[in-house]
Amino acid sequence: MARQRILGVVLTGGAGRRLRPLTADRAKSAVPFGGIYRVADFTLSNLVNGGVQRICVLTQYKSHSLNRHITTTWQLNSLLDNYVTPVPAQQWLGPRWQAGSADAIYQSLTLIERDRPGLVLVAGADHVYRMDPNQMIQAHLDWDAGVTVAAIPVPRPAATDFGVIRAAADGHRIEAFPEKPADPPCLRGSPDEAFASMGIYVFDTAVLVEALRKDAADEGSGHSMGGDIIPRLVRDGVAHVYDFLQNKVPGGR
Amino acid sequence: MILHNTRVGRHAVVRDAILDKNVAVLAGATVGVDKEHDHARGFVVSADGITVVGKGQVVAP
Repeated sequence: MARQRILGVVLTGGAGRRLRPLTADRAKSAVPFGGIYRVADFTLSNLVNGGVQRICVLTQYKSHSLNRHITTTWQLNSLLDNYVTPVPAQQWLGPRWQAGSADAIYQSLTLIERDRPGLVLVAGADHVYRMDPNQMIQAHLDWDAGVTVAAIPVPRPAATDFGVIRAAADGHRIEAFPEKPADPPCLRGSPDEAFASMGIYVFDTAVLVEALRKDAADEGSGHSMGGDIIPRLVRDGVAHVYDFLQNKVPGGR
Repeated sequence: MILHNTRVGRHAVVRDAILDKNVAVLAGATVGVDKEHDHARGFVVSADGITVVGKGQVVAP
């Protein structure tokens, strides 16, 4: 397979209110973990070890601690044009903060336009997990999807805090994507479980850019990836779901 | 759990607690033992009973 050029966009905007006071002075993704690591290192390690080696980390909330960690630890080989770079809110589009996760990417569209990737992988930085992104990217290409959303089965009562996916009969095209539903749709063939979005997305660049532009022009939108962008693409019929449990990592789970 | 540059003095007791960076637990102080006392002193106590001391705070006896 001729590999498409891919850019990683990592979102770290969240304030992490539930982790106070550990997040009183730092973003959730900058909370220390296991001695010398930070929570964001899980996502960055998954991406870099999976070959996604050009990564923009979008920051906003109390980002100094994370900036310092990333710039001192994630130094990739610039001869190969690889980088992990923290990107602060830069007010390209006027004197305002990021209104939501979609707005964060929209405000930084220049990064995508300059890098000219074929695919954009968007991920949060506050998950503790191990994943090979290549398998998800391959599924995205096999399905000719506009966007592919990673999801994990969770007990149905716990799914009310997530974006929940109802897949079509083929198992991967998304029919519905209610955000934090009171009554989550169950997983096909498993009435006690629901498919929860992990906030990890692979986009065709053109699909992402068009959806962000339309979303930015929509005054009723909350400008969130899970709440607005993905539902928009589900309505367009181009969203597919990748089952995280299908992901095989070296060493096994 | 004790993060970087946090100091715990002699005869101090730390139990079921997360101490963020640059915390000072003074000699003879206790933290995490009496959850109500922790709460009254302004430390966060999680639902599972873990006391969390924020960055740079001083725990006095």
